[in-house]
Amino acid sequence: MDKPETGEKRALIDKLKAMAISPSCCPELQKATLSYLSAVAFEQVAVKSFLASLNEALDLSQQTLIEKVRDMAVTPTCCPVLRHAAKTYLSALTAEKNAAQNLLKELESDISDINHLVAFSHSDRAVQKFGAERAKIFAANADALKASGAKYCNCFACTTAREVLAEKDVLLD
Amino acid sequence: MNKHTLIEKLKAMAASPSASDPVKQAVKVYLAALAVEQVAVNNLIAVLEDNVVDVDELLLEVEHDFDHLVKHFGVEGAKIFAENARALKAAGAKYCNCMACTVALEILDNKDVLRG
Repeated sequence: MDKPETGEKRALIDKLKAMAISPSCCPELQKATLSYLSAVAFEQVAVKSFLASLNEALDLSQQTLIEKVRDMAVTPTCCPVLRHAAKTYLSALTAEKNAAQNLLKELESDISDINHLVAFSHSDRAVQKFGAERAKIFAANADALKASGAKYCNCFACTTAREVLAEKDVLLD
Repeated sequence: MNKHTLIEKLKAMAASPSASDPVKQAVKVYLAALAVEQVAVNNLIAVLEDNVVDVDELLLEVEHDFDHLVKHFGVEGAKIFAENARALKAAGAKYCNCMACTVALEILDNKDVLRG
């Protein structure tokens, strides 16, 4: 049996399509080709749907496993020690997710946008924090960053915070 | 990016001079909660491993502790339990097929997913 979506098969299918719409193709051949092409399309949809359901059946994601732990803890055959371990795990998990949410909120509120950075770099607070000379360098860097079209501060903490926020589902899932 | 990489990034960020105190604190709290969760998940896995009943243990209970089964499930229930245990052994099963053991085995087969 041909593997679906192989390069060779795709190339042949493209040739058949071109042939079917060419003026020199006789009606019988055109009909047979179109009938074959619709069968191929149907088969490909069926194969994709089968593979998707297979993946779903095989994939015990962390979420599915957590549901299983929850279900197991309430079955009558679950012993008290196991029930307790499951409950302890589930509450530790909740605490971890709450801490992750709190951390993500904190990261969101702490990323400096470029206008905030420029304003701060030219302020007295920057002079107080870094000294007059370093504050000047800091302000020049902030101005250059803004001129380059950057939207956010490029310090290590802000850059990392944005990287973490871009992948926040990894911490929340 | 996987969770491990993100956690390493968070640790590096919290140690950087440009991280604010509230962010440092939030990272610290998160890492502590994560450590507690890891201990809890390892404990759960150890308890699951301890508690899955193999079919021979099940038969031992049927043969030597039937009264206990009767106390637990009633006479009829204990009989069904015994029949089930013998049928399992005859079918070549290795473990008890109750809901808790079945789910425990599924979880143990995927324990690394749970560990994250």
